Amino acid sequence: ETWKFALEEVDGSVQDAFAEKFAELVKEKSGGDITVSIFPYGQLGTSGDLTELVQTNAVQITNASPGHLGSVVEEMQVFSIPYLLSQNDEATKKVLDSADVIYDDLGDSLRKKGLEILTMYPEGEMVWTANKKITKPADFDGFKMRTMTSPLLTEAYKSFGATPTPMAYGEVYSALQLGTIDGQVNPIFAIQEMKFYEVQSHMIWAGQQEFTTSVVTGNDWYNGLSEEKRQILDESIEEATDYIFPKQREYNKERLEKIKEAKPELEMIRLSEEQRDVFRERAEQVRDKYVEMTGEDGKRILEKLTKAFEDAEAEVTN
Amino acid sequence: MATAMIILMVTLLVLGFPMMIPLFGAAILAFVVFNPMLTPTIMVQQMVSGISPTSLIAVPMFIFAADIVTKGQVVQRLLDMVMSFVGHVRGGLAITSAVTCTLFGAVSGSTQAAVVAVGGPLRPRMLRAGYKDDFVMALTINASDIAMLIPPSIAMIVFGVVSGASIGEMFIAGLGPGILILLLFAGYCYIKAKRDGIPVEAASSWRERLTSMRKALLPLGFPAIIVGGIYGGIFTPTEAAAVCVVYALILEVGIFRSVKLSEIPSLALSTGMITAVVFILVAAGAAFSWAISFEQIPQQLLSGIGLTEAGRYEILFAIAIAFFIGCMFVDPIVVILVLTPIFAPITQAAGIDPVLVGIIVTLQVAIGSATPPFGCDIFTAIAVFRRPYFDVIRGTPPFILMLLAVAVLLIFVPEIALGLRDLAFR
Amino acid sequence: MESQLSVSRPRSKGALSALVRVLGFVDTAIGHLEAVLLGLGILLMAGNTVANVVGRTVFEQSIFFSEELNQFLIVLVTFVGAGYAARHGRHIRMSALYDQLNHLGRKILMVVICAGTAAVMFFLAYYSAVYVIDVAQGGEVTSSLRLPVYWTLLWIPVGLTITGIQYVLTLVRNLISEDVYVSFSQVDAYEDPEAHTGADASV
Ligand code: NA
Ligand code: NA
Repeated sequence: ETWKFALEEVDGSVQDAFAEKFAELVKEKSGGDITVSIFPYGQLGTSGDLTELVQTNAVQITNASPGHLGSVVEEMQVFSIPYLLSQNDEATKKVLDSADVIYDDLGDSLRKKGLEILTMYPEGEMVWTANKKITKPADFDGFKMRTMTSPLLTEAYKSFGATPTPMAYGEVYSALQLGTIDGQVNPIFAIQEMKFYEVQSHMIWAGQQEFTTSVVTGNDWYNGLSEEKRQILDESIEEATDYIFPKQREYNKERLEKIKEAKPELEMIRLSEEQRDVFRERAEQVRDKYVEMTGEDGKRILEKLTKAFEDAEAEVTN
Repeated sequence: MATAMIILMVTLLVLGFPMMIPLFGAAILAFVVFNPMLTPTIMVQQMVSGISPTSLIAVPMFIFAADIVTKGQVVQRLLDMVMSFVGHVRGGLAITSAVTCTLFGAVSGSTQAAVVAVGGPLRPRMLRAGYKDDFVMALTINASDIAMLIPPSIAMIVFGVVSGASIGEMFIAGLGPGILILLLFAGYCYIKAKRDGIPVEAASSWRERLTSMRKALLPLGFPAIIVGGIYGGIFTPTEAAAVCVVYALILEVGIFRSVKLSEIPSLALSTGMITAVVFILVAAGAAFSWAISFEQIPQQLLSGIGLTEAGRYEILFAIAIAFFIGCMFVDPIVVILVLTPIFAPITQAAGIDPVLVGIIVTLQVAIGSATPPFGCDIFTAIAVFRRPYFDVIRGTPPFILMLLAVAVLLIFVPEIALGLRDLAFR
Repeated sequence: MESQLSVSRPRSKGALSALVRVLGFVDTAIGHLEAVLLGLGILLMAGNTVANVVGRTVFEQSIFFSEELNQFLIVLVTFVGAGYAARHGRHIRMSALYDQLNHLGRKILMVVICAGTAAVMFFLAYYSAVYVIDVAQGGEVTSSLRLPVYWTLLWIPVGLTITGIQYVLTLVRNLISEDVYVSFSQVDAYEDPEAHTGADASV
């Protein structure tokens, strides 16, 4: 038996590392009866295609970013809100791993659309790259910041003082090079992979967001698995999740080293807590926008999730 | 299964079915016969994905702009100026065409856009000068492909992302082979013009040249807008195409008054139809390549060769051949996405410079998009020039040979590509 | 353009002729609608893209739905255009073998081609309709305008069905007429490049 696992990212990415580990675990636990074959990005379609492919069971497992799931279940967009996730790794893991609000509340909404969410994990902090130093909203004045097309992200960068500019991912490099846009935001691995640093002068850590992904499967397929196979799946997912948290850190660190090595003159700025607070305060209006878009259900999810993070932080620090 | 798909494709192709049918047919075969558990709705999803990239917008926009200026005076004025300078040179017009295609494709980033925007207006003029149609069309198609080697290049960006090679370095490295190919093409134009006895015109006086330059001043705004706008960071290459449409309207309808506003809808309609004819093939190609990827056919074919112990030259040749064959049938970008990860561990282990691999791949992909049986530039040329398939491809072999020669040369003398790169980065 | 082509349609006799006339009328109406959608699609694409450039550079405000609108228009143009191209016999094909055949051979091959192509189009039209219904039921929305994704996809079954019908009509025309037709109204012939050195790109 073969399970097809399609990724949103390329060979050698964090998602690939997760899938490889998962494949290894499944093989081991099933005594070699089940093989997981991995299809990296592009081979079976774009990120948007992949969720549909698991819904129809052409592919059994896939990564799906909350942003994409947000077009299936609107409340999933909650993960686009800046300064929502904890700055504490352990607390983040606790919530992403097991919070009821994700696996029950959001999970139920996804189930209605034929999807079963298996796990979520972060792939690294979203870092700004820019052609100038940015430490406060005023620095963003007249600054064209490339974001993904999502009303919440647009709102976020407006609130930060920038001019959010949507653009296809493939065009970003040359647009940065030619000055059509001034900066962009992505996790470190993407900045390294896409070589955005080659055409930028600054990298800025503002702590506004972790890049998260979820692993999903079609719920017909999931429910149709035998008890034994489902146990193999669940256990492998859990162990691979434990594996990927530290791995992902290490991986982004390596990638950052590569960037530093390739371009030593690149300026790296880590905003102080005070500087971050200014942006954090402005991000309040993104929460309002989210509630405006998703109504009562969304409000409940946002509150629950915020509380889950607070609880987890309290628990971890004690 | 791969064999069955290929046999079906070739049969439908030879029988003369519309080009989308061999592609759709092979995909349907894969879905219905070999993977009955897959629902064919996936084909529809992939068709949509195939025509989703925003950069595709450049194609209809350049077709539209070219339609407008061909109907009006812009083209005539530009050609008059060009002829006043190169009319007395043997093969001058053909060489000008080649250079224009290259430059145009270079800035627009789309080889298809270059075929329509340059080939559309220049072809009638070259025919009148006495060039053979098959030569003219083949020149247009192949000169446009040089554009892939000159930045910005979508093929290089995609390769950079999948392989991790530096995009900036590839951009520089592509220039060497790009210019080399252009020189070869120019030489061929000269020989062809001489052998076919294309008459040369009497050299123009400087006064005539000045007059023609003055008349071409506004039309020269096109290259100025494209180059200035893109390199000045005002718009992306895709957007430049739409800006050209507006500029074409301003010139032809507003200033020269050579096209009536009432004629615009029918020009838009013709653009729409040509676009559809080409894009339905892009969509069909996407459905077809999904089936191939799903079955992991490329991996199976390549695992049989045993490249892991091969030497540097064997590996590079294998890459060149694999990409060349792949691009004969499938969209270049898809080929890069599917094949690159397969070769990556092999080239890495052999310590081959990823930038060199990138340039070889880009060159193959460029050749592939102009190589029969399937190639987006061929389709575009058929749609725009309205000539039968065989007429369009008849003149291509000498060009493909020259391109392949450069590919081989590149494998043995990588400095053609890496020389400039080393100068700039090392 | 439509009307010019309609003039060249040969008249048949009796009930068949009435049927052909009704079909012809419906067909012409659909043709006009396709032409309007196609032309408008291209004009909107240009307007939308340029407006985005102006917005971004002059007003520092990108149009957020610009990309989505263009994607909608591409799908519209591709699939509505596929039908329109079939109507004018403009789909690209490799005619080398076909060109070698005599009149009867061409006629038989053309009938086979029309039947096969129509079958593939209807097959895809059916599954694209299924796909549209799936997506509509899934309630997926576009990322910036939050509009239902299926609005864009709707053009696929419509366009493919029309394309399929065009090939059926061509088949019928080939069965009832003397000449070989590449579309319902278009006799098989390529343009003469020497006689036509002007606006080659126009229809
Ligand atoms: Na280029
Ligand atoms: Na090709």
